[in-house]
Order: sequence, then C-alpha cells, then structure tokens
Amino acid sequence: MAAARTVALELTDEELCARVAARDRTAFDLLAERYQARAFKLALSILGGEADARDVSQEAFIRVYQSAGTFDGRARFSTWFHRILVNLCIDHQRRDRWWRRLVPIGEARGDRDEPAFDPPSSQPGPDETAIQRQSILRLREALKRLSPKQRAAIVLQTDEDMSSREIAVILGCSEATARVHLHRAVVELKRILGKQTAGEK
Amino acid sequence: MKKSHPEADLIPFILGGLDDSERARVATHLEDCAGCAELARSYAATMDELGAMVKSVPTPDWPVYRAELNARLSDISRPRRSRIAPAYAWGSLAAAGLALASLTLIIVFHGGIASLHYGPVAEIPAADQNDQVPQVPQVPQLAELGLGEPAGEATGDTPDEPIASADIGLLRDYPVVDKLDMFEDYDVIEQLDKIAPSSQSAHEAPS
Repeated sequence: MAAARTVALELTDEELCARVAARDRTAFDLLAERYQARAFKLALSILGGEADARDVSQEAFIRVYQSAGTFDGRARFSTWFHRILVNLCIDHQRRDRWWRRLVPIGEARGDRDEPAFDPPSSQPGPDETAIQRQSILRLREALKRLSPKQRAAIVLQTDEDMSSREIAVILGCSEATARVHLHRAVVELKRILGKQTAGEK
Repeated sequence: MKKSHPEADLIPFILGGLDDSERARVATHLEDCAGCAELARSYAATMDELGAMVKSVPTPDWPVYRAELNARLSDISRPRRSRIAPAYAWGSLAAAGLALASLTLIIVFHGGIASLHYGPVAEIPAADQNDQVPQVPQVPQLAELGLGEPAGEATGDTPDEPIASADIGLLRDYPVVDKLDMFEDYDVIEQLDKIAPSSQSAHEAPS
C-alpha cells in the first residue's frame, strides 16, 4: 500500500484521474489530498458558509470518483475539477435562493456557520484583528449579494488566479461573457462596499 | 461619434490577463480617458481587498474532512441491500396511477385541463376567426427578445399566456440582488454572445 502510494505520488493529476476511473482508491486519496484545500477554499468563497463548503467540496470529489471515466484529457484535470465544483456551488446557491428572500442576508448566516472567518491566533494584535475581521465580514456580505456566476467568476479570479479564458471554460461561457461577469461583480462589489462605508459614517 | 469604453476588459487588464494587442488597445484608451483610468484604479483597490479576504479563509480539520469524504464515498459505493421496493412504495405507485387515470378521465369528459383552472370552457368568450386576439396589453416574452428560457428550470407557464404589464411593473420593486438572480436564471448574460457583432461595438476601442 505504501509502495503504491509512493509510485502514485509521482503521477500527474491526469494520470491519477485515469487510475481513479479504474477505481483505484489510493489514486483518489492522492487527488483529494492535492485538491482538498483549494476545493474547500473556493467553495467557501462562493458559498460563504463552512458547512456548505465542506458538503459541496466533498460532493465534487465524489463526482470525480463517479465520473473519472468521462474525463477525456482534452482540458487539464484542474479545469475539469473546477468546473464540477463551481457548477455544484452554483446549483447549491440556486437551490438555496428562496431562503434569501425570506431572511435578510445578515441573518441568513445565523448560527449555522458562524464564525466563518476567524483569523489565525498567531496573527496581529486584537485591534488589528478586529478591524481585519470586520473588513472581511463586510466583503463577505457584499459577495453574498452577487449572483452565483458573478461570485464564481470573481472568486476564481482572486482565489485561483485564473484568467478570464480559464474562468470561461469553467463557467461554460465565452471569454467575453466571463469578462462581463467579472466586470459586473467588481462594479457591484464596489457599489455595495461604498454604500456600507457611507452607512457606517 | 460616441466614444466607447473597454469596461469589461479593465479587470483582465489590471490582472495581466490580456494578450499583447488587447493590452495595447486598453492602455492607449486609458491614456486618453481619465474616467476609465480612475475606474481601473478603483477596480484594482477592490481586487486587492478581495485578495486579502481570500488569504484569511479558515481551514477545516483535514483528517476529519477526509474521514467524512471516505464515509460518503463508501455509502455510494456500497451495493443496494434490496432492489425490491417496500410495500409503501407500491402503494404510492398505485395511488399515482389512480390519480393519473382520474386526470385522464377529467380531460376526456370535461373538455381539457384548462377547465380545471379557468372554469367551464363555455364561459370563455368565443373568438371569431377573424378577430385579433390580444385584449391584454402585450409585452415581449423573453423568447421573443431572443433571450431564451430559464436555464434548467421549468416555468410551468403555458406558452400562450401573456405576461401582464402589471407583472412586469412589479419587477421595478425587486431589489438588485433578485434582479441579478433573475438575469442569471434567464441566462441573459450568456445570450449577449448571440447578439450580432455590430451591436457589441460599444465595447470596442476606437482604432
């Protein structure tokens, strides 16, 4: 088992995926290990709640296990995987949307996932931490007001440092459309953040 | 002539995601257009703020995460215990069949499913063949505008049911978030690709 794992460590994502298609659990474990942090972070950025991010990112790995045989290698594995994950996040958002209409956004988070963003304890002093946390929460709330695709586009860009071409592949749209999503997301964020700041003053 | 602004290209420009010719085009525009240059600066600040947020994401307990993942995977990998449906499933199936049969009978003997919603067919004023139908103010359907149907969701509307202008008026009271959601549902943004190139010229920089 350990020897198989050592050999598998040398393999590319695409080769590991081919092994997963043959139901190789060691290869699956390695792929999960490589992608779990990115998957969770991306899902959390799009969905906003830890429990949802955990659930949806795990679901993405399960989809990989189930459909690894359909990966044809034309795109990189990472692109394929991100597409699965982002689509799951968008579907999740859409399923959840009625909730937003009933409960104000600030309250919707409630006790389900709080506190979503606690900076590591080894970081700056209490004042700085408080300011940082407040700023992050402000942004988090602003992000929640974007549409799922806008949120996915902006998060893929900031989180994964993806180009608009890669974002387009993942969102299943043209590059021009991906740029429109990005642009609208930033404009909307700016507008919401500006409004929040004005409200605080 | 109206000057066009490469707004959608500003973010890829800031992030270095444009190819050489596109970058040169946007850079030239920014030299001449103070408004776009200011926009680009403000977008860069927003992106920086977002980048800082992304770095502060908490991490879960990975061994626990993986244990959960493996448990879920084992659940779906496990063969089903029995393929024979329990008794209540057969009962539900029978009830559904009965309901379907009743519905069919109603449709056959009472002049169609419309009568279930709108009362007897006889109450609907008969239209002369030469009459023009619309009495309700017509507004263009999304499909007529070339904007397609909602992505992946059934509307449940009958195709010949017009959207009343009062309903459209309600849209004005929707918050921006809901409007955006709706645009996403109807894939309005995706449909932009289908618009003829001549109408996209507003985003093209002057040569």
